[in-house]
Amino acid sequence: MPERVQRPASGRVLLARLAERAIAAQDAVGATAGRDGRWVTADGDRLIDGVVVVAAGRRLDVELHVVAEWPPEPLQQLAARLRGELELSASYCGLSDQLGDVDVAIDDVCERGDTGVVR
Amino acid sequence: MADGSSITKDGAALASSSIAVTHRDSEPLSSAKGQTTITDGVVTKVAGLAAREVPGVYELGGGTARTIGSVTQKVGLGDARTQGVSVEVGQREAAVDLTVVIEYGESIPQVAEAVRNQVIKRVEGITGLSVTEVNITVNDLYFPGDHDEQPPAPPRVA
Repeated sequence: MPERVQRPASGRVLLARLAERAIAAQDAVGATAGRDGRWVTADGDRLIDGVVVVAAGRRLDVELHVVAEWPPEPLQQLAARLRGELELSASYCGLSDQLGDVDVAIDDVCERGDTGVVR
Repeated sequence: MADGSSITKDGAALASSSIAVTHRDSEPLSSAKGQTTITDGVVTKVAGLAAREVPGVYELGGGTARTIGSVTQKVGLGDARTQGVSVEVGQREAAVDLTVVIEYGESIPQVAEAVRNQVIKRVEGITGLSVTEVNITVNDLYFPGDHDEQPPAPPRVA
């Protein structure tokens, strides 16, 4: 059997990985794939929860779906920080030209210990 | 109020409740670099959790809502934190209706006012929405020693 060839990751997958790290870097915030599991990006054999990357012309728009732990900071502030983290990471990786809009959806607020917070 | 009527934000007691606000589900907050969406469910949850932070509030929801809520929670369809809470959300404003059970011995007007202040503080601080009104209906009193309902079991499946 020929060995499985690992293809280099696409810009879409790279941005999704950066988005995943941006979410993980926040305290008291977790990614959510949604009740039906549709907010995901496939990355080889695994799924990146809470991240959707959509082609928009030459750029890639990114949607982040998160759950915040109670009591959260002002949600607009949280969203702005997530957006900023992703933009910064994308610029370090040379992906700024590909990154389009970054939409942040706060889908739930959970108390500590709830299964709703995904880590 | 003793007759069970709602108390509005400005302190005047009214027999009927909220003023209609244009309802938009998940109204996005736009910026040049993308949108921020806060679902109505989040606003509802914030209001419910805020109300529960107030000493003297035993539970949210009226008798029927709590009965239905305990059933839906057992099958994983309901959430105790949004029981007894409804919100109407516009682009910049929100109106909140709460039904509460207050512990016997507490001052109902004082607890209601504390709930109102806490809900406004939390909703405005966390979501950025301006709270136009908080209607509170005191549905029941809790007496220590009353037979407590079993807490809802956590759902066994995601």
